Amino acid sequence: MSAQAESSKLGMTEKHISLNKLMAAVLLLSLLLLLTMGVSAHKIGSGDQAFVEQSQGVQVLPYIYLGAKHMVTGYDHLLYLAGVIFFLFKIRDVAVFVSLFALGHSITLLWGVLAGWHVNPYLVDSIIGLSVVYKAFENLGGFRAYFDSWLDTRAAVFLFGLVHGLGLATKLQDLNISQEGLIANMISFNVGVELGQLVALTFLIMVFSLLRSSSHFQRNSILANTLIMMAGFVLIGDQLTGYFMMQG
Amino acid sequence: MSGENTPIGKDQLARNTVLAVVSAAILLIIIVLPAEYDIDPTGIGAALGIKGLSNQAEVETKSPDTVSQDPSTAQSPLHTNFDPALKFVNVELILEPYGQGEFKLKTSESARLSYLWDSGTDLVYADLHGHTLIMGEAGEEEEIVVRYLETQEGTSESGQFETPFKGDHGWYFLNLETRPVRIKVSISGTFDSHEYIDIGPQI
Repeated sequence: MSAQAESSKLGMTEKHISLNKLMAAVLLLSLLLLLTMGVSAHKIGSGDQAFVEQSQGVQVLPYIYLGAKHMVTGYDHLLYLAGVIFFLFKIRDVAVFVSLFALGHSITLLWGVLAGWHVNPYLVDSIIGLSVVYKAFENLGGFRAYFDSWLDTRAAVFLFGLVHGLGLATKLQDLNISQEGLIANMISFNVGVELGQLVALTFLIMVFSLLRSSSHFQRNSILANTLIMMAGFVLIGDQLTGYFMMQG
Repeated sequence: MSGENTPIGKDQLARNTVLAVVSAAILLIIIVLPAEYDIDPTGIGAALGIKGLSNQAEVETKSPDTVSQDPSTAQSPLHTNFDPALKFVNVELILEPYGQGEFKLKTSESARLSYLWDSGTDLVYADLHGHTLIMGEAGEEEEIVVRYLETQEGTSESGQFETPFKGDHGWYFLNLETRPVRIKVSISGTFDSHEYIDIGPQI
């Protein structure tokens, strides 16, 4: 107890301030890196695609791996998750929100692939970008500032989960997944997505608990959510450009 | 629950949102669009060396053995570069009654040529051929001639051919009319130079 009190006092010292600045710089840099890696980072790699096209029948572990890999390297999903858990201090709240998100994206992933929906990946990905902007704006208190009652945060997470699932479905369909063993492979992919999400969440929760222990969390949270919002706008611009390039 | 920890005024909210939009637009214009879509209005993408980045990567993964050696261009297997560059020539030859002429191109080996000639309604004889000089066994120069196409009586022809050797390739034209004729000749290909020799009327 006394050690904690001491550390919170130490939070005001210069050492901790420079640590915060360092962390903010690292976060910003990694964000920029991810952004410059572009769409290619969140499509499934061509090597993986070749594997899927050659493979036949039920392939449980490979699809689990592909799902997990897509989630961990798909920074659009990660940014949204980061926004969702930003102000969730209790692990129980994290579980509730992430479950709603998982429920949403599982529904449209499974349904979309089974029903053979072919939605435009660029449009879906730009709505996913919009979900990132939405969440960051919500975190900044944006909706409460202008509207007396706005969409419940839980409902929004579920609805945007549905959109993220559509994105996942288009990625899985891009792989030209064979009809043989489709359901088992699709469920494996979905399981992989949830596993990847758990890995990402563990990492995110660690980073956030570190950030929250700092006395500058307040100010940094405004900066961080502004950066998340910016990244969301970049995603929207990127995907909409791709959409119009394909049309023209 | 969400947002309760950031008492942020409307002014700051608006300012930060505008900041996010503007910085996103800048990032898109100078980095993302040049790298992803080869759209580079500012030229910064090219200066950073990231312009067209993802297009190139795509070609490399699809066909590693057809990647162009020039790093500034990415070539698909569907495309062939011309070396030397493609040239065009459009000329109008006038042949007097029973006049003869030879229109020739100097080319390297394996030059690709596409052509069209047209004499309107006047009949001409045309002989499309290639010739060059080689060293014979006796140390004397020998001429080899290859005929590609002979037109006994015609008013136009179009086609393409690839030269089997370095040398002269072209047409011998003979006017079959008792009046002067005009022959329009259009050629595109990888030739070095062209010339026309008026041989005069056939007696």
